[in-house]
Amino acid sequence: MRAYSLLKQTRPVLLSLMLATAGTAHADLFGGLGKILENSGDARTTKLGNILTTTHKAFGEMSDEQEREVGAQAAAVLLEAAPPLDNDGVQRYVNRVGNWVALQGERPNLQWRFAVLDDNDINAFAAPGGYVFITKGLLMRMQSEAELAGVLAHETVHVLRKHHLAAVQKGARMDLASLVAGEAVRDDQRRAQMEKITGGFKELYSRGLDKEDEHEADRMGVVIAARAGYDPYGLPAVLQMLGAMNPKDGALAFMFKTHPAPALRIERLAPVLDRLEPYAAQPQVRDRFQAQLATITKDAK
Amino acid sequence: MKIFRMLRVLPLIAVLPVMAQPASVVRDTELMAQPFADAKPMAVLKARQQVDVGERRGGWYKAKSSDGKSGWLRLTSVLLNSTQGRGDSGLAATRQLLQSGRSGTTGVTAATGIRGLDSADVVNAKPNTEAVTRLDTLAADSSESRHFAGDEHLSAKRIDYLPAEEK
Repeated sequence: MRAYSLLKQTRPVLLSLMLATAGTAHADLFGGLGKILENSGDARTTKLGNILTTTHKAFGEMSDEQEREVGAQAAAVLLEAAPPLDNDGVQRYVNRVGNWVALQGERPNLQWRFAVLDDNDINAFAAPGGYVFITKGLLMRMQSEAELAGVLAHETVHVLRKHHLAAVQKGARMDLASLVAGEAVRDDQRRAQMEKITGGFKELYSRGLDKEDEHEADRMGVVIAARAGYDPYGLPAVLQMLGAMNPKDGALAFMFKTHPAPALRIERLAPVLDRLEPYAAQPQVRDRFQAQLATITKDAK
Repeated sequence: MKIFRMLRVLPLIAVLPVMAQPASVVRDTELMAQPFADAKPMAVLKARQQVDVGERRGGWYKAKSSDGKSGWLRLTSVLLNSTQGRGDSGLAATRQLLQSGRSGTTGVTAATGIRGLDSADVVNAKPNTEAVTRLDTLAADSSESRHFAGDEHLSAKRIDYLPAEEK
């Protein structure tokens, strides 16, 4: 009981810190809040101030706008780790597929942003607020738009279900319990705490989400792909492809470290996947997909 | 002569996407005459039995059992065999070569040899907010996405989510 009440107390503080972190979008990470507060004429600053002083809602109830700011910070970490592929055609294509897929979920009005990361590693990521990234390495191993739609649908579920927000809250809260002594903290302390929050996202992406979150994203993702009119077996086919690769392949290491094994993911889908058989004949859309892949291959030469 | 040799190879390339892949049956399952649940069962395959699978149609793979029976198997009833032992795809190594001079992260990547994007890249990344803002320029809006879907006759359906466990 005692632990619970402690958590309850630290929650508003954590939220403020999360938002403070997100508010630094145009500031140097380590210059942080101090700089922002100096530029008090800036519209962003006003917004940040309001958020900091008025928000006492629970983390799960944060507004879409607040979630977006937090997510942008998380996305900024991912885009530095692996930059977007320099191919506007492919980026637009993936945004169209992704947005069409995202329209079939519970949060169609988020400003969904999709990107292919210029990295031969095989992976995909999501960040709060509607950011979804897929590596070039994974894209190049797919056969059809239905497979792409399945993977993007899986990632959108992490956003729909706020998996990352819940995980970072859970993880960072424990740190903060010992960190935060009171509400009135000095700027330098606040900066240290903000780094802690950004660190929370870095740590989360390194460790991966809860394995049950991944299974849930698979289970909902296949349905969302089917709702979008695609052959719903695109995602399971990608999982088969991943399972058929050499598990020691370096391009798979990060994804295998952060996700359940492909065989287990298929196993978990198996008992319920037959319910989508009525939609099995929906299009795979191979030609349009392959035409886009061809422009990447050409770039590589 | 060279041209003739090349021509002989071409049909093989065309067949590549549906080339048979070795797979293992994961649970006792029926080999069906058609890729449908109510199709005629051709044979019962036992768990761990080896098969060759080819084309996928929906949730089914075209399959041939080790004793020569052909039919269709549920995608969830088999696992494609892993190419264990055939070595690295080479992608990680290529990436290392191409990107060894990149900036923006610490020297960790360059120092650790052949591997892909990993925890260290994420942990060492200083948030690139400018890259996030640039995503807006390539985003798609809903009406654009609907047209794009319509071009390939993708039509939206109402479908319930799947239960966590089959009831």
